[in-house]
Amino acid sequence: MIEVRGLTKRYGDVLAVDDLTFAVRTGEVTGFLGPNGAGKSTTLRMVLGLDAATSGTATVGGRPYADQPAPLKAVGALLDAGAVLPSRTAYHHLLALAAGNGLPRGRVAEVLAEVGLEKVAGRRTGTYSLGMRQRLGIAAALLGDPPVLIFDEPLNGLDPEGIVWIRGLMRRMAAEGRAVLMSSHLMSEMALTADHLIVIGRGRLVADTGMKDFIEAHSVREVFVRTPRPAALRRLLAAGTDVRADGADGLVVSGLEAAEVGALAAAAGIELHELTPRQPSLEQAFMDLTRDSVEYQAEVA
Amino acid sequence: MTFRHALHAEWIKIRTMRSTLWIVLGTLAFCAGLAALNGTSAGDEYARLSAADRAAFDPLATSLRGYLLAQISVGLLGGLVITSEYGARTIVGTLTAVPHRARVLAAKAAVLTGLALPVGVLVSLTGFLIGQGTLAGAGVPHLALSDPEALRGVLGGGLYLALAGLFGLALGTVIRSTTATVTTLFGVLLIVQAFAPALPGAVGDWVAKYWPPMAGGQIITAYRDPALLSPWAGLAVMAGCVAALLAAGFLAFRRRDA
Repeated sequence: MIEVRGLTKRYGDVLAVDDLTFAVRTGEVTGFLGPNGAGKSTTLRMVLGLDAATSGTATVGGRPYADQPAPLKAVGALLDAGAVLPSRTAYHHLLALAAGNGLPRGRVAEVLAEVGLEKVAGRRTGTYSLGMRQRLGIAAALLGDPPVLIFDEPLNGLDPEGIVWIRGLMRRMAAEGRAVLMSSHLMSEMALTADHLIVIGRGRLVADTGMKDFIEAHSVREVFVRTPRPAALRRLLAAGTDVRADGADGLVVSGLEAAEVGALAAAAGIELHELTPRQPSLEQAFMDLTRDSVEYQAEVA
Repeated sequence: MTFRHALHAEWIKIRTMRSTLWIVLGTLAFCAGLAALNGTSAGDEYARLSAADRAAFDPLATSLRGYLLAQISVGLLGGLVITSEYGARTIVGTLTAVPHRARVLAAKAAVLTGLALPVGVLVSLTGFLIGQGTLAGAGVPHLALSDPEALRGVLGGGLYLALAGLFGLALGTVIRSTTATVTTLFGVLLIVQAFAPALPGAVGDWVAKYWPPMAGGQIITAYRDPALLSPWAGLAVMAGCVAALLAAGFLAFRRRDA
């Protein structure tokens, strides 16, 4: 539904987005992941026609955003929840957007109810908390009941309840057959929400893959094992496995399943005190992937 | 999606902007108050004037002098129509709802004119009526609304204020900051005017005659100074300048990233 082809944005000498090509499918939550400054927001702004591309194209449902006959019916976007006039009420904020697309007045009340703001709709948005503004931003995205939704860092600054709510909403929107594109710089958020992953670093595409495939491809299974005879166990484990010491009596084994380590130890009569498969850290996988493309990086000694 | 939808959206925005009401009421109150003050004090001054000065006494301009500040406040309203969107970053929502940028700016200009023109006429009419009333009370020459220059001054004064609003909109579109827009409005509309008499010979004469806001200000005068443009020619200079700036605003708005 969203198609980006060879999209490039240059600011002077800086390539903010560099020949980016990807597609966002319907019925899925696609995570758009990258470190800060990777070009995620710039890409989304080009998709929405807010920034002009230096070259390349971005289309939604086959046409550029600016050519949509009723844009809010084609794409709903939350780019910046803080973008409200503080002295305007939530109701009038939404009413102006709806009017611009010829949407009926009744839609405003519907989306306000959908995000749970109907009781505070007459209050000025300046009195809103961050979470309420985020809900208002989502309400604006839903106004035209669009088949494509774009959320830029929707979970930023939200309390746990708000995060759970937005996650649920995105899952529900995808289940209804919409295409949902959500950007974030946190892998852990993606793992819980996204079906598909598009990873960029320094404006370039780093990965375009299913969430499951990504986890499998970018994480090495590890097993933590504790034994009073670490040296003996270490000798026992065959070549092709990577073993490193962890504490006085602990070993971290990669390349073998926990059961295999246990069987080898039992066969050799080596006593084990602990045998734990370790969950791969997605954050680590993501950082490994984008290490070379992080714009500002602390020196690692 | 049509221009009518964009107009509707902009109308909702301008009427739910808190500054709009305060600017309109403040402008009205200021112009009415100043007309009363000027009208009253003109009585004492008129008595002391020479015959030549009495011939140049302009009851119309005396009652409409409030336009000097009104042009700033209406210009500010025009500026806010777009700078408030940049300040609050709602321009992103505006342009995602209506990506056709020329349509957005045209709708803003139309809605602003639709508000500023009647408000401008009302402000001028109020100033005129109060001003002429106090002049009459002070026993100095005054005008009735049926006098031809009176109607021209009141309607033209309204037109001038609408142009000042569009001027503010054009400035705001190019500058994008409320503060910088206000500063520029003061500079262009008031400071130059205040310093024009101090400018050397030919430059001073040229500025007094052609500087758009000064030329446009001729529309509220009943006394004709042969060194200056006629009222409608002066207003045309102002309108031309605003049109050129609006064109520049359109180009900038279309070309720049939001």
